[in-house]
Amino acid sequence: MKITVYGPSNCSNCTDLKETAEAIIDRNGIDANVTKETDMTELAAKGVMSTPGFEIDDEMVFSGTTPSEPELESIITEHV
Amino acid sequence: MVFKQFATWVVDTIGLTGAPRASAHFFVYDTLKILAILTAVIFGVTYLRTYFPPEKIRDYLDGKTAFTGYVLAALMGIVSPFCSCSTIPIFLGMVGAGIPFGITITFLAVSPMINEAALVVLPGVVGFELTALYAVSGIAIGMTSGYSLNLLGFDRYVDDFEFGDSEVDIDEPTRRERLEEAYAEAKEIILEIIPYVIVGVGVGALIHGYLPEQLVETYLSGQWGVFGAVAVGVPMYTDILGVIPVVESLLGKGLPVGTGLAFMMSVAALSLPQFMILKKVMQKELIAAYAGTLASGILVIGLLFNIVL
Repeated sequence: MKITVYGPSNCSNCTDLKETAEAIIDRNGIDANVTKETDMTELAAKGVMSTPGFEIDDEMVFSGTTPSEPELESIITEHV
Repeated sequence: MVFKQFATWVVDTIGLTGAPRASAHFFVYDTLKILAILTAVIFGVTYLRTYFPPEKIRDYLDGKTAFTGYVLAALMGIVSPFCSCSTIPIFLGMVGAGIPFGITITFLAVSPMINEAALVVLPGVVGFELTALYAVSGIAIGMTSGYSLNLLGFDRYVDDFEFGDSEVDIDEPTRRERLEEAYAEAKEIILEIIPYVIVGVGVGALIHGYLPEQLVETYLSGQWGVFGAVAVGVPMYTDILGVIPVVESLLGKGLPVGTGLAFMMSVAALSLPQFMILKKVMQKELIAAYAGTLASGILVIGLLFNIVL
């Protein structure tokens, strides 16, 4: 699966989210690729108004919130 | 105030006197005061903001073309997240949703210039009257800029993109979730602002302790000082909370109030890094016109306040 975190480079919550997602994927042995999209125009194209935006396989799962690690883990494993 | 006593205790303990004492006292007192206010206000506001996600406000603004729309956009600019990284996605989201162009520009202009933490810190620095004048004139400048750019047809210089509509289901969060969200956002904002506050207070402290009043009187007291303040302030980037302590100490040295306000506004509202980000979403004609209308508005306000007050 493909995970994209949408957020400008100076947004620390977005960077944290990407790192947490990567850790969860490693731990659960999920075959996924996590990337971060920092381009504002891409954010606009996806309709992300509040950062971070979190996308799994072209579906925007949430935006503007930072779920806790267990919450994020269940979100990701649900999509496997 | 506890902080004032603490600052006095610190300089007493080190045994400072004269200018170093004045500078160190200013530094300790202002850093503590600003950070305490910042933490409390930002946490409170980020909590309240969980009730008003930008998507909701955008939908609310939709269809309000007249005066109300501009006023609402300005008010929204005041309570919008201060993190510069969040303002532009909101701006683009509004443009994409078809909110009238002038209203989105008003939001973009007011957002960095006025925010709730600045409105709480400023009265202690320049008094309630000036804080109110600052807020009212900031809103007026933002609205005028948005209105005139719209009238002149500058909306054609916003880059074309495909605007998506994020269909994220926003469940009504629980109180606990709101608190957690507010905590995460407040932490991010505060960590982003702290370096600017410390540098700002440091510069303010040096001015407070060492800058001769004579110098301010000779070079900065005339009306030309307003032009200088805007010329220096426009390219410079710092947070509004970083520039407040600098202006605070300059006012203490006899800087005219209009000049001080003009400096504060131009530093906060416009900056080179902001132009670079805007460059990605709008063409240079619009950026120049945006900067031009805001800078002229700030000049007029500064000159006017120096004459009236």
